Amino acid sequence: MTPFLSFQRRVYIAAPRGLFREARALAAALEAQGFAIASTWHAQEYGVDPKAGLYATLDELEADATARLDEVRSSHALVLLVTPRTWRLDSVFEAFFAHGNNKPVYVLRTGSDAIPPTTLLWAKGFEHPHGQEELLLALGQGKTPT
Amino acid sequence: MTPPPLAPFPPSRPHRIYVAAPLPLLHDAREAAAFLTKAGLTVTSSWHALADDPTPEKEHVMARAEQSRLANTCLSEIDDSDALLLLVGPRSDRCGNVGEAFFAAGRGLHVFVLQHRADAVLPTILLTSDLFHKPTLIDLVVAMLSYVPLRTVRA
Repeated sequence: MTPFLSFQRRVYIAAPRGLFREARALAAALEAQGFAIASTWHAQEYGVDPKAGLYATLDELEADATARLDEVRSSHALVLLVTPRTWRLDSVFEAFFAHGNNKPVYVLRTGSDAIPPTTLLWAKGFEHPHGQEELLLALGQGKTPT
Repeated sequence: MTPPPLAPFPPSRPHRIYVAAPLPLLHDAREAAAFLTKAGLTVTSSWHALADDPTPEKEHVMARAEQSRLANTCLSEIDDSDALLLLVGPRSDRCGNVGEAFFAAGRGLHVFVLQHRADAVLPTILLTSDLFHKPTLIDLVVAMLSYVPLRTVRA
């Protein structure tokens, strides 16, 4: 992957781990539209690295955290999938990190009962498209990568 | 030859710091803000100084426009800071405060994560990233800040 030589817009998909199938489906839909996918977590079985968790050392956790934040930084936009109960709050933190890095952030609800897990996601800079079609349109009109 | 130790440079204005914490730690946030102010820093966060104590229940019943106004206020206060102090307490489903820390890190602010209670749990492994300083005492935040260059802020 050559992010700095590619003209493809790179999108990071953030979501609770339980939504890894939805994240994969969205990744496929975005790739079909010509976007590159910056996030790798949803490519793993159940969205979880089998080496991670209880058996990971602090160094491994730190390396994993740094790698994930680097993926966010290398993207041009981030899509946050929101469920009725967003258990994997890491995804929300990735969205705030992207916003801090001036990336457009799209908060996409996965159902009518899904709610953003924090009021702060209503701040300026967070877009709330209604459905995947509107998301694709918004991403297509997004800022030119710099 | 051993180089001389770095000395803090005299800043042209006091460092500006935002105090972030989950709402259950409102009292701790007030204490931290008072400590930092007494140490000569400017505290930029206003959420813990409101006359009407913020609560999750009050946030939930707010109209969307009011929620947006609140969110914009918090993020713009962070934007006007040199650093952010995140107070970590017991496990909580409140995530806005940690989100603020990540927003600040994305903006390039120095972020200090302080687990200041015995029952404190790091809310995400992402905070293990070397983007975040983990002092063990609030006094160390003040000491470390003296080495932090001032940002160009709007205030």
